[in-house]
Amino acid sequence: MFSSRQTAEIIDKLIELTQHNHIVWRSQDPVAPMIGPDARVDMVYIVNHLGRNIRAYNQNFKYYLDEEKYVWDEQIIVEFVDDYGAVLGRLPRTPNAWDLLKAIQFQNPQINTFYDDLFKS
Amino acid sequence: MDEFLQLLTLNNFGSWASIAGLLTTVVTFLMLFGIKKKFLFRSSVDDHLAKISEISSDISSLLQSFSKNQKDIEELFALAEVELRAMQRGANGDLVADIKKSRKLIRRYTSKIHFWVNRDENSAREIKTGLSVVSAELYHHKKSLVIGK
Repeated sequence: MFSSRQTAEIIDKLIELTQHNHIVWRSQDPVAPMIGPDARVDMVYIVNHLGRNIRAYNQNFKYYLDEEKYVWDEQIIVEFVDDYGAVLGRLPRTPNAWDLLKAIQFQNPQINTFYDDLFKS
Repeated sequence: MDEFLQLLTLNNFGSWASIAGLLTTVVTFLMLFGIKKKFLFRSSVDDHLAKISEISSDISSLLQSFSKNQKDIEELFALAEVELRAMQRGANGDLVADIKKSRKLIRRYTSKIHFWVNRDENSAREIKTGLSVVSAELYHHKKSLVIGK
């Protein structure tokens, strides 16, 4: 797959395109296998860019310390999927994936216009 | 032949051993400094990763509106440069190359001498991507340290 350098560059480019509204992410409900007894996902975001479906979401998952003890951890997953939602490939984990999720969430007009609506109305 | 045999005395062996010992001491000292830098870096990888990721994330949010936040972005670039300088001392391989590249971009962007350099959103995003690459390299470096590399 891609190297960590390429992944960081890809994600930064997606952030730029999102912030300039050149790509618009749609939200979807999570489906199995991304959710289950050991994993939770609140919302999934998907976009079609250059003919590829890209999906991003924050997954909370149980990290087992031994057979019974576990702690909840979280990770941002950015992956390519086909038209039916099957995973074609997943990008390696990089810290800037969190910034992508923030940019996607801020793209929601309900959120990004709140400041103006609150103080300028 | 006689002259050569005369040189093979215990006294001469002692002198050569002293010279070899001195060279070994110098080499050990030099290696010690390298090892010290390496261990200091290894012990602070978590700290560096947290700081550079935080700065990079803040810059990313500010780039939402470059013209409004240009001053704040430049301040964060200065902070990133300080952090990268501290990291460069113990880093090696691809990581050090990426750190040097990012520092060079930041210096060109913030320096008044490079007046011909465009201080626009594209060059700011180029620096931000450089920081993201450093932070990704550092993340994988941290993981390789965990498995004992």
